[in-house]
Parts: sequence; structure tokens; C-alpha cells
Amino acid sequence: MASLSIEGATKRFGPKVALDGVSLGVEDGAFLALLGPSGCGKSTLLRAVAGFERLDGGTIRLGDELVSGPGTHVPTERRRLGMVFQSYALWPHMSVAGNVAFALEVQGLPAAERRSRVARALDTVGLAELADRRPAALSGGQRQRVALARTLAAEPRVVLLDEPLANLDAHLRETMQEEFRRFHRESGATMVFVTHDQAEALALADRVAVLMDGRLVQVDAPEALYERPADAEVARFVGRGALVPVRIEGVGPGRARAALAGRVLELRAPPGLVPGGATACLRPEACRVLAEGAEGVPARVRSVRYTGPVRVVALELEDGGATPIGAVAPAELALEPGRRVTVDVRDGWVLPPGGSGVRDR
Amino acid sequence: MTAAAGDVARGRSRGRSASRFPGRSPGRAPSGLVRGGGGGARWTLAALALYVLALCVLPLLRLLVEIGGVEPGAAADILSDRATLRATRHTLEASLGATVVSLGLGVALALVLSLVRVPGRAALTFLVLVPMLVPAQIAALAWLELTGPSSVLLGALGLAPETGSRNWLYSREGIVLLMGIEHMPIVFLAARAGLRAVPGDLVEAARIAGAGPFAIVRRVLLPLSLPMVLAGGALAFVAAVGNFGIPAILGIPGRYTMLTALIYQRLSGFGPSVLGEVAILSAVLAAIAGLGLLAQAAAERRAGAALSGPGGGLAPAALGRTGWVVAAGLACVLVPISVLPILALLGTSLVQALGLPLTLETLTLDHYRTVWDNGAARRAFVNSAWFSAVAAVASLAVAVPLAWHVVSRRSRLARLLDRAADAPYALPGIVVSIAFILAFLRPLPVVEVGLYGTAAIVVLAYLARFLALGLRPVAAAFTALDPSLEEAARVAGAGPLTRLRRVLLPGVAPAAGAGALLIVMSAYNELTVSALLWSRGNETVGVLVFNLYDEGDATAASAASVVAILVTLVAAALVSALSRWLPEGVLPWQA
Repeated sequence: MASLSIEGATKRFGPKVALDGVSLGVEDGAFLALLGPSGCGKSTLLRAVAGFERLDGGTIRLGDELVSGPGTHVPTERRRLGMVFQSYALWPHMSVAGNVAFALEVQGLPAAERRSRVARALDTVGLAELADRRPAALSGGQRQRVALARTLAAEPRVVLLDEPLANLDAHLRETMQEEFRRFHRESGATMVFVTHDQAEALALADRVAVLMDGRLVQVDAPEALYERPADAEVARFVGRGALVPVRIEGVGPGRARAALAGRVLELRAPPGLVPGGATACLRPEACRVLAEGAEGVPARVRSVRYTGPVRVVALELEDGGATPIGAVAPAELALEPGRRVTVDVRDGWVLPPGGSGVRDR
Repeated sequence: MTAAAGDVARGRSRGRSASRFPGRSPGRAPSGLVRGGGGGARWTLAALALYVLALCVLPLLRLLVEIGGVEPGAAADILSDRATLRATRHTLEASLGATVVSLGLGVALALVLSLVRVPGRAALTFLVLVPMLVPAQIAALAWLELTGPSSVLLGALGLAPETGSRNWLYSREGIVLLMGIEHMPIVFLAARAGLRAVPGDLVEAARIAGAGPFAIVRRVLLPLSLPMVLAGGALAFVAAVGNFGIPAILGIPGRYTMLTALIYQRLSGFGPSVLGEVAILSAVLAAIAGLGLLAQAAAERRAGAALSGPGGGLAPAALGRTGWVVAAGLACVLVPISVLPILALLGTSLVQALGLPLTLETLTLDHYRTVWDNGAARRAFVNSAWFSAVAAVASLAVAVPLAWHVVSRRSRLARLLDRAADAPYALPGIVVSIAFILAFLRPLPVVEVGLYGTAAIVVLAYLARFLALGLRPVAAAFTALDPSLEEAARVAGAGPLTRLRRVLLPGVAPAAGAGALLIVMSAYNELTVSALLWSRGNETVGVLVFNLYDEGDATAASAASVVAILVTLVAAALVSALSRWLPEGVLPWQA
């Protein structure tokens, strides 16, 4: 296994800039998710690492080897990578074992070692008894496991996963997320996982890199990304935070006193914040709806959505905040659109001033 | 199979011209694609380019040079010659007339077979497509045997015309009718594809709005499938313009000379000395065909624009007992046009002497023995088998890597070569053969080997003409492959040629087999190209049938035809057996 380091990767398709100077490091054995809305360039970045796309600028290194750079482009077949495709890409005319053995045959491994490595890889994903089946005879989850085993057997330097769970139903997706975690733990592989699903990224990866319009916006551990988004776009995309205008009245270490609709709240804050206008990100689970007149920010119910465990309420703040904020409501409280309530904001995060800087911490 | 059948195959793939070779993923420009290097792949592309240039481009360029070299005054004389004008008029009017017949028959049959659940639908569909499988010269012969004074079938019913009376098929109307039937399957397939492309929810919306079945056909289905029908009609017109077998067998004795027959007469009468003149005539022919191809392209662009959603929601209506009545009605149309002519041919080939009724006493296999004992005839069957086999194998050996370069490696040069390979197939065969005479009349430079008058020139012309026929199914198969299959092999470390061999070839092998069989079906009975290129010792089956008939040996010609049709049917059966592994639309007769 090897580390992966990307410096200033740039890629244009005609007038469209797909990657705009992306720099990103993935440590040996790390599990990184590339997260972003469709068209943000995350798949292009993955395909550039794989060698399918040639960079217009910047470099990509696998371990110490420069694989993409000005005047250098190591072809895919000599990068010694593994890749799990969205469509699985199992060769339909080969058996499960044949699929797993292909890369080893191409590498010219002796038959005995090939057999033992195929057997070990199939064992790891629990498919040893299906070795002679054709891919067409497998279920979606089994195909996904074959694709993983195929990757594992080749002992690649880095494993790339291109939205591998997108074709599975919700239940199977959860099971496979578990499998991926276990696979990562047991193999110690360096893994880069592309997804547009923020919940999937947060659940799977050690670190999440958020791409927007070809630029890297934030790279952080899942908790940090969720709790301390670097800018409004990330705040909205990850966890659907509500963004509200606040006025900073006092700043302490890591905290700030912020006025929202006339009430003063104690919020978490980045360093370097100064009193004045700012934007705060409020998560629904940190906002609780109380009866009118209770301690908190007055608001009016816009709509109520029953989700099972809780009711999620969209609220309009009393003095005109244009964006609705989400909050959870206790079961006993009567709620209908238009009713006046109070919202108790227990936690929130003031976005860093300037908003859209890249922070790779 | 006639060239017409292949025209359909080509037409259908053209129907999706916008998405013929869709990019690997939308939004990714080819410039950024890394093709995975490999000197071997680059060398193959260079070899492919040489092959296509030498066979599909240079001869046609040589023809252009010849046309350009004719003095303007001489060219004007040829163009304004009465024979030229008359042949041009005949070509236009007979081809338009035949197109009307093809459209009427083809659309009606497509409507009934697509919209109504009739018993025996598969068999009836096969009967609709039979005229396409029978080569033109054999069809003309079969119709003459069916309707002539010596007709075994009509004789048995006591309906045969008087001996010595002139067969009415030797006329403009006869040519129009036979060419109309011959190319009807082209329209049928296009109309059926058009009807199938209509999204089912459009029909359902019309039903919710209260439209009855006839209103739906008239107001929804026909207008929406009209562009495809017109495209099919244009292709049928192009096929009629290039048809040689029917104008030669019916038109020459009937004194109704069309351009293809005129070119043939001039060349076989005066030899290479009139090449300049026939080059001009072939330019007229190519121009008329070109107009038809332009009309087809325009119609298909509209077809592509009209319907965006997925089609195929059209369920044929169940009619219960009425279905049998409809089936019987269809049989009344299809048996006379598809079955009786072949039976008549079979009858003529089995009866002792023309004019005798076919009974157990008069039944004989002598004519087959005559053909077998005739050295030239036996040679023709062997030659055609060789020529078509070589054409099939060589074309596929070129088509597979070329389609790979076009689809998987998205090479612009390969795309150009693919377009170039279309030309000898789309143009009338007689134009191609004149181009080949011009290109190879003189010995090849440097090596000083003369190809004119040898088997090689026939085979080379086949290679040029039928490459497109092999390319279509293979390109369709490459397009249908998930591109990530090849990408996965690259990630696994496989170089370009390993990927082609281990990952891609297994996926496209059935389509390659189908392409090879389609070429065999076309080449085995080919007449239009070989009529001008054959020489003693290098006869083909098409030439054999034509010459036997020309010499007045109708019984031997019938026997040879029956054998030729059998070969075609066996190839069709083989390729149908492959059909479950083929991408949709490769086989024209696939239900």
C-alpha cells in the first residue's frame, strides 16, 4: 500500500474547468471520501488518479512515484491500482475466480500463487463457494463482493471506489458500508471513495474531502466537517444545515455570543471572528421546538414532516429571516402551519469570516 | 441476401446516428481521454487505414479522376445522348414506382403485424422478409417461371398463358412490381422500427383522451413513425436505383433499359474502350442514389428528433377469432409474393422439359446433374464459396479492430475510416465495379502484377463493398459493452491488445459471427459487382444464373437458383441461431 498525494491538479474539458488546482494528500492506509454534488469533479479526480484522464496541470504521486505531471503520464495499466466500479464491471464471460485471477495472470504470477491468492481473496469476502459461478448468476451484493475481492487479490497500491454503492437498495447499502469498513480495517488498504451521498461519506471515511465546482472546499474528519463546516456551501450540503444571519456581540476562545432575532445565543465559533455581521449554521437536531412563550427565539411553524422517530419542523423566524430553519419537536406539542412557537437553539456554529477558503487540516 | 437487406441493417444503425458511438460518459470530451498507449494499437490503426484507403477510397477517387478527365464537350454529348436520357428517365420512373409499391406493401404489413396479435406472427414476419433473402436476378427468374407459358404451377391449374405468348413482366410495370416487392422488406423493417419507437405512454394518453384504435393509428402512430417510414422509402429507392438483376433480366428483353443495364450493355459490348463513357453514366447513377441517401439522412434526423423517450410500450391488440381472419388475409398476400415464385422455380428445376406438367413420371433431378456436370457451373459454386468466405473472414478481421478503435478508443481517424467504409456499400454496386475496373485495369505499379481478369479483382471489390456490412454489428456490440469492463482490465494491468483479446473479443464474438454470415449471404449470390468483373474461370453463382438464363437454359438456371437460395437460407438459419447473443437490431429479421 502507498500514500497518494495530489498537487494543484487541473483538468479542463473544453471551456469547462473540471478540476481547478486541487491539492490533497491521502496517507498510507487512510480511508478518504471524495464528496460533492454531481458535476463537481470528484469522478474526474478519481479517474485522473486512475490514469484514465490526463491532467492539464499539477501532479499526482503514488508513494514516491510521480504518475501524472507535466510530460509524465504513467498509463493506467502500469499504476498498480485497484478500482471498484459503480457497475461492478465484472467480466461476464469469466467465472468469479476468473475475474479475481485476471490481474494476477496479467502480472504473470505462477499458477500456484495465483490460486492461493484467489482463494484467500474470495474467503475474505465470504464467497469461496461461489468461485465457479458466472457474474450473471450472482445477486447485487455478491457482485459487489466479487469486485472487492478482485481488487484485493491484486494487492494494489491504492484502492479507488467510484460510487460503488449507488446501485444497491438502501438496506443492502448499509450492510455493504459495514463490509467496506471491515475490508479497510483488515486489509490496511489506502482507499479513496467517491460519493455524492454525505451520509455515506460521513459513515465510511476517516477523512472527507468536499469538492465544489472543481475546487476543494474542505478536508476534515467526518465530525469536524459536520460540526465546523468551512463555508455556506459545505454547511448546506453536509447535514442540510440552516444558515441564518446573526450579529456577533462578543468573542471568547472557541465561542461567540451571537444575536439571532433579538435573542442572544452562545455558539461555537472559529478563531479570528470579530464582532459584527456573520452567518451561523444551525442543525435541526440541535434546535428544539417549545410552546410559545418559553425561553428561546420566537418563530412560526411553516410545515411539519413526520419522519418516524421525530417530527421535523420547518420554522420561520419572527423577524423576517428568509431561510426556514429546521428543528425537532416533542410528540406532545400540537403543531400546525402558522402556529407561534419558540425555538430553543442548543448548539450552532458561526461560519468563518470570508467563508470559502480551503482548509486542509 | 441482397444488398437491400444490408442497407436495412445499415439504415437502422444510422437511425441512431446521433448516438451511434456515444461517448463513454456525457460531458467528457475525447481530447482528455487517455487511450492507454501501446505501440501495437497504433500500428494496427495504421494498417487499418491503409486497408480502407486502398479498397474503399482510392478506387472511388480513381473513378472521380476518370470522370473529371472526360472532356466537357464529350461529357455533354454522353449526357445528352438519347439512350442516356431514356435510361435516366427509366431509372427514375421505375425506381419511384417501385418505391411506391414498397411503401404501400411495407407500411400496411408493418401496421398489421405490429398492432394486431395474429396467430403465426413469427412465420408471417419471415414470409414478409423472404423477398430480401432472394437475390434480384433469381427473383426475376422465379417470377418469369411462375407467370410464363411453361409455368408448372399455373399449368397444373390450367391457367398457364398460351405457349409463345409474351410474358407481361417484360415491361415497365413488371419491373416496378418486382423491384417494389424485392425492396418492400426495407420499408417494412423501417416502419416496424418506427412504430416500436413510439413511447407506450403516448398511446395510453390518446386512449385516456378517448381515441379509438383507428384514431390512434391515424393521429398518433402514423404521424410519429412517418420519418422512419420515409427513411425506409428513401432506402428502398436507393436500392431500386442500384438494382441490376431485375432491370437486366426483365428490362433488356422488354426494351426498357435502365442505367444499370445500359452500363452493363455498353461495357460487355465494347469493353474497356468505353470506360470514360460508362464512368459518366455511373456518375449519373451515383448522383440519383446520392439524392436518395440525402433524403434518408434528412428523414432519420427528424426521426431522431421526434421521439426522445424509450419506446416499445406498444402492445399488439388481441383479436380473438378475428385474428385468424387477419392471418388468413396476410397469407393471401404473402404466399403469392414470397412462396409461389420459389415453388415455381423449384417446379421448373424438377420437370423433365419445359411445358410438361410436373408429375411423378416427369419428375427428374437431371437439371441439377447438368449443372453439376458443367465445369463452369461447378466452378461458380466453388468460386462464390471461396470469394464470400474470404470476404467474410478478411472483413471481420478488419472490422473488429476498426470498430474497437472507433468505439473504445474513440480515434478520430478510425471514425473517418468507418465513414469511408460506408461509401462502397451505399453506392450502387455497378459504380463500385467500374471504380475497380478503372483502378486495376493496368498492372499495379512497382510490383507489375495485373489484377484485371483475375479472381483477385472480384474478391477485392467484395472486400470494399461488404466491409460496412461486417462493421455495423461489431460496432453495435462494442457500443453495447460497458466501458468500465475495459477500464477494469486496465486497472488490473492489461495492455491494449490483451484487453482486446481477453475482455472485448469474447463480448463481440457473436456479433462478429453474425457479421461474417451476413457478408456470406450477400456475397454468395452477388451479381451486380461480379457481372462486370468476372472472367473465364472466375465465374460467380450470380453470374452463372444470369448467364444460364441468358443462354435460354431456364431449367438449369432454375436448378442453380434453388441451390443458391438453399445456401442463403442455411446461412440465415445459422445467424438466427446466434441471435440471442446479439445486440438488438443487428439481424434485420429479428422479431
